[in-house]
Amino acid sequence: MGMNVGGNSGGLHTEINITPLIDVVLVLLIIFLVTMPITMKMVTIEVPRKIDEQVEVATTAPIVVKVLASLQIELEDEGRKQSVNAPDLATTLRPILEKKLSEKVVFVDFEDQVPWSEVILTMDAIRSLSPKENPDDVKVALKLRPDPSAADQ
Amino acid sequence: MSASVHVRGHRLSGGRKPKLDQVRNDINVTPLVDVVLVLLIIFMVVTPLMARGREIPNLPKTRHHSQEKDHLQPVVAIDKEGNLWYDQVKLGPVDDKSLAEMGEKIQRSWDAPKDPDGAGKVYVKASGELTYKQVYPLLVYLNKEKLVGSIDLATGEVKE
Repeated sequence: MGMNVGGNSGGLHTEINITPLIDVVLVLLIIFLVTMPITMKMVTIEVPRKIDEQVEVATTAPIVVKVLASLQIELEDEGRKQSVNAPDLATTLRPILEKKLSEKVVFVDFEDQVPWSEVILTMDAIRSLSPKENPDDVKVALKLRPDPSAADQ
Repeated sequence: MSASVHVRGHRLSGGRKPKLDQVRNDINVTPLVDVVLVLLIIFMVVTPLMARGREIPNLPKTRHHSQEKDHLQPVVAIDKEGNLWYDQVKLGPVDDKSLAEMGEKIQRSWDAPKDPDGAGKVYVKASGELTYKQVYPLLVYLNKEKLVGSIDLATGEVKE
């Protein structure tokens, strides 16, 4: 009798419930499928060649953002220099860029000890000023040093 | 295996012949699970292989990066020790010699591009722990020697 009861309850559900497993696996599969089309995430920095640079400088006074080793930012626009804290860079730059009707180019320069992550963050902040529909509107350009082999200016 | 126990259980308890729909009421999902698991494993294996070049664990993270299709352009990387890599090949610390070697490899890749859109482009991965001084020579080299006018700097995505 007791054995019968045991056999009965065992006979009701002997297999594991795999439905949650399938759910999880399917969701994982969908996640992988979505992330699959490999795209390369990048911020593009323009590096003017010698000739281009001279043309650029001749036509318009460039906006120059210089990040110091202390991570303080020196912003130069039409000969006027101002000091900006890193988090305020975007808000300070916005009105300056809006006045520019021609190509919006911001030159960036960094002191030697600035971490690379900070370099990219600065470029990211400048790129954030582009309108959503045209994310490459504002271009970031590298300010080349007079002598590339020299460590710093 | 389990099916036979199932049937016997009914026979023992009820003593009646099981109804047809009691034998197996649900769909057999085992093949489905098999297929899905195999697919999953294939994707898990292939995905890391798709990211090209030397893996750099802490790329700087950005919000306003652009996402572009892979044009099979050359991928160069500088790891956190300051070593230069072309694809998966270690070229040693960034200096004139390693840069020249990289330049040759880049030129070879451009001369026989696997994707015409990739010619003239370089994808640069640099660890966030480096300083500007360690990456600047590479950017200057690409500009001066390889005449790259716009350099694509690799970033990661800010995950919230």
